[in-house]
Amino acid sequence: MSMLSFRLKGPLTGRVDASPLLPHRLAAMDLTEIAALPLRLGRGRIAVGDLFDLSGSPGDTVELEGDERLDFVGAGLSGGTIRVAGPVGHRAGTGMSGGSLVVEGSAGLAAGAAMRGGVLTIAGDAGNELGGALPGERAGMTGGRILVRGSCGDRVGERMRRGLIAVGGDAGAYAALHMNAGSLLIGGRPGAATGHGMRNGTVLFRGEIDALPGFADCGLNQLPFLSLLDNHLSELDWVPPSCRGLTGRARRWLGDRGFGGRGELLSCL
Amino acid sequence: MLLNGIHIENTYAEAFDMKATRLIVTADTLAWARHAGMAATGFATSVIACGCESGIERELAPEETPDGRPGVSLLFFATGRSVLGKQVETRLGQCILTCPGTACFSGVPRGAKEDLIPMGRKLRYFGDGQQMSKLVGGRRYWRIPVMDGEFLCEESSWSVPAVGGGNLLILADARMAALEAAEAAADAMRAVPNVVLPFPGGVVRSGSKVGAKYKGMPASTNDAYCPTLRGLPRSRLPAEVESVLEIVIDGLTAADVAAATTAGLKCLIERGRGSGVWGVTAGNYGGKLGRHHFHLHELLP
Repeated sequence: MSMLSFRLKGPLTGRVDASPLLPHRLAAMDLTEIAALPLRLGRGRIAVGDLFDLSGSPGDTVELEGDERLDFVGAGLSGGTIRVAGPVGHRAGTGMSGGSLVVEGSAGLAAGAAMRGGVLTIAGDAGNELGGALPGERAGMTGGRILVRGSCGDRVGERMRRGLIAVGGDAGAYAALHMNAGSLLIGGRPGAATGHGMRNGTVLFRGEIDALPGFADCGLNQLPFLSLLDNHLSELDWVPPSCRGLTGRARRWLGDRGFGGRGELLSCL
Repeated sequence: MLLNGIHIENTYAEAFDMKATRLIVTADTLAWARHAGMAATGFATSVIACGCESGIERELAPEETPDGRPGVSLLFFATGRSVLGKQVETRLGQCILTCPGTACFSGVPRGAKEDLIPMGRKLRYFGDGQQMSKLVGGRRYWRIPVMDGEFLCEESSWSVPAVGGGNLLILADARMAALEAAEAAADAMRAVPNVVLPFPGGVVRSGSKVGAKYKGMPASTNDAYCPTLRGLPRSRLPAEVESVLEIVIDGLTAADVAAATTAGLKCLIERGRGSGVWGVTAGNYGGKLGRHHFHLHELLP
């Protein structure tokens, strides 16, 4: 397995669009061609070779030194692996349809937005709109898996239609906003207005919640699919431990009935 | 051929191509999984009038099932994919959905679209709009609200090629000797994976031949093996045989049916002539109806 590494030459002077640095796009190029690739830096452009030291050989893995101003890392990824040592900026893994993006630090806004497939792993925290929808789009995430060890900001899983998001820590306000389907696991505490406008889908969390008035409290239930989900999670890498150990017993709220929805909020024991 | 005093006739069992599927049924306890399995595989001895042939393949420990509860694995065999689909649909709806605490999963690998056997895909409408689907690990499951909680059911299963109608005929000195031998052989054969013995206790006493003197009877009693008729010229029974029992085998592959046949022969030969068994033979229709021939002399242990 060949790996191509990008080391930053120095501090970034503006925000960089790193979306061209996808393994399958670089695989057919040699190092000089890659070094000549233009990247957007602020309002201008810069060659890859002026920004990064390149080493290794192009293949199915790209290793990237991270920076909070490095945006669109792994956006549109369809195969292969991108491993980022450090944080990433906004929109990491946006619209990715396959492959694996591993961020060993934190991620900015809209990580994994409109994702269709593949796996996005974030070892730190994620910002607002994690696994959310692109502006104006009716559907957010439609497939794949997002695993966050830390916490996430507001509106995680907005308009989500399919797939799995697991957040190890707390979630911000309006989690699963207008969710259509899919599963959102919150290992910590859910924020205010969780599930607002939800039509279908499942939000799992621990502990108590002050559910919105649109949610009907269905009390404690034994749900066999939770053990199935837990079994599935046990087979995956990087699942936050706080999202594991589902006993199958959960308090269930059904809603958001104000929107004709029949999604569920599950407080898992 | 005489082995341990037992005559092994130089003949073969004739078996047919079928379509099969496997369902995994779990419940809170093994007893309840068994209840569901017994009901779902009931009245499924022969495709002649039951629509399908089925049985409990084996019991499953919690660590072997998708949801970590005790369960049973069931095999269903039918003449084609569509009739198999219908049988699974009705049996799932009437016998497994209804049984307290059960969940039901496909027990075969994902197959082609044209091999689809609907499970939750059809049954979900029982949820009257309150059903929910969940995609877990690439497989879709339906959660249907029922009075004891939720019925969890995989969306579909798939049909796989299979072989039905393998058989052994046990010829014994007395009725009880035949029964005890058949029980022992059936136990040994059930231990083979991928097979079921669809008849009650795995054993048939009314083996049949094709056709009858009466119009409209597709099959009638196998008079050549009826001891009360053994004085007639067409009888195939020696004077000392007073009772004959048959074991029918359905398996996922010809190799599975062959393995079960070998297991049955091994058990009967080890028990020996002293157990009251005179000989073992097999049923066929001259070799023209079924593609699979299981020659007893080639399958000896």
